[in-house]
Amino acid sequence: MEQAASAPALELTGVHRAYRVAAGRRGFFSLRTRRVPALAGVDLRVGRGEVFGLVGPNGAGKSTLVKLLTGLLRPDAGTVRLLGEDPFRHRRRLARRYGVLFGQKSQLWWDLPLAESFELLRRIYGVSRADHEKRLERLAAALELEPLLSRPVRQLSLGQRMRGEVAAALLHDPEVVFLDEPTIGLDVVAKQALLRFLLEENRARGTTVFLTSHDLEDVERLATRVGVLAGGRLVYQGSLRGLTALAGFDRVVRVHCGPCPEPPPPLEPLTRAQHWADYAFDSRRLDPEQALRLASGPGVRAVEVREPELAALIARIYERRES
Amino acid sequence: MSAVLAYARAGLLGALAYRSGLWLTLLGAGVLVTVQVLLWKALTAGHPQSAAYVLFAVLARTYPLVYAERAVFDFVARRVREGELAIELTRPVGLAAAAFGHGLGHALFRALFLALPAGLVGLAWAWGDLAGVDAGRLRAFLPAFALAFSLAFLINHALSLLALWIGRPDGVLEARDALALVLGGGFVPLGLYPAWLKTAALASPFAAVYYAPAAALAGLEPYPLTLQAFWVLALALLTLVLSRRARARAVLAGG
Repeated sequence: MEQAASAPALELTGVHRAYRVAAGRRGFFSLRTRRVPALAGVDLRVGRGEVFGLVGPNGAGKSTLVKLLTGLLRPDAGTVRLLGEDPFRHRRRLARRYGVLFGQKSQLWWDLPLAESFELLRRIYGVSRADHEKRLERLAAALELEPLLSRPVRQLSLGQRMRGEVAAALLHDPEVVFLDEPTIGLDVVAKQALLRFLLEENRARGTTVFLTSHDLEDVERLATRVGVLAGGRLVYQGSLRGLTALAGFDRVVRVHCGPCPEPPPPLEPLTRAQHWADYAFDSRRLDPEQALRLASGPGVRAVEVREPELAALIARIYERRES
Repeated sequence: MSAVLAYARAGLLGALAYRSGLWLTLLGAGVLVTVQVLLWKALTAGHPQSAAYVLFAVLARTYPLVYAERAVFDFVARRVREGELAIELTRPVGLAAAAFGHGLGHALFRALFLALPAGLVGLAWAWGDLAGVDAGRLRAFLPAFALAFSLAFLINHALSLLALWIGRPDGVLEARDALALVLGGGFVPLGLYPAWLKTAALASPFAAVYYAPAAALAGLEPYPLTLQAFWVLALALLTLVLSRRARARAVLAGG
């Protein structure tokens, strides 16, 4: 028990998981199936109170990882521990200690008022009325839910519903919260507000946050450490800064031109649009002033040095991995 | 227990949210019970147990409405179809307990707003046939009904788990309805069946669900409580085995 109390929030060691999917028909009643690996040898450790962001393209295995951590799936090989316990074996007990938000699924009761959904969750999680009221008051104020409490969930906008979903995931005061694509479909304003709230929640209450997203802005804003999942393998975990070393560049020269010329080495082409292009370079090897001079060739109207976008870094990591 | 009651509350409130469609269902139930009573009156005219059969017809058309079979079945099957099962599995409640609570809420709604009015319509047609009902029969009815309710839940929950293997088990529901009608004794009085069919029907779990409580109250050939209890245990065991196997498939099929 003492060991569980001092254990990291979550830990995966050598985790493999494959799915069996249909690959055609063998007969009228039977299907031909094949195994598709979703995760292949993932090792990961996230400390208590940490905000960990897991990024990767669609089909990289992010949701499978969350399902393993919440005890919905059992690994084919390797071990998974959540708060020091096996989440598949102790699913129901651990469910009281974590909260989960699947961005594309709802845990609220569609036909009932939001307040009624919260009351049902209180009973399901066995939270005392006094504790519930205190938490609901805080969450409703922070997420601006008060005017929505009496409205049936089906009448809420997507942004309003997502705020309700976040409150539902946090109402029982979980030690760990899993957010699987929490901002999917949200507009910029709603997204910013939600991310701000999650950050405050982590700082104020020490809640461990495990965030998966293909939207790198979410991760950039929230996570203290990131992991990059590609083809079922964790190709990177560490600080955002460390990502730049793996990608091989940490700065970008934005060149306004048209048509834009090929960049002179050691600048490398990164992105090309109709009237501008981005060239990547490593500021540890090439001084930014020198990069500006190199990029200022004929036909170039303006140049500027920028921080790289996380998307570009990850794309480069994928490219390097592929090659 | 608190979680089961929370699901019951959600089921009841969810059913109340769509009560406007109830009038048509009520009309259908009223027509069916009327037709059934009139048919069975004609069918059993002159039979020494005619009154008991007519009362049976009223009961067999009304109290099974309380089982809320579709609601129990849909709890898992619909979530599998719509990829929502993962949400249920992240809660600190077993899937069967959650489905039972959900069914209980719907059962309460249907008892008050469907079975009771439909039963009153039926009894209006068969008022004279109530004469034999006494406290002894009521005492026999209550445990038979409790076991029948549990068994109906277990059958429907087990069938809904099949969604994890076959995706859309609606065809299985149709087979269940047909078997329930024939073997449950609600189609033609079991007493009028050939001996072999009557024996097969009385040994089936469908008679334990649909025939047993009504037979106890109407004073027809009783269905042994021990056999009902056996079916409850057998289905509970089957559901347990299915649940364990289903869990391995839950996320693949249920999102």
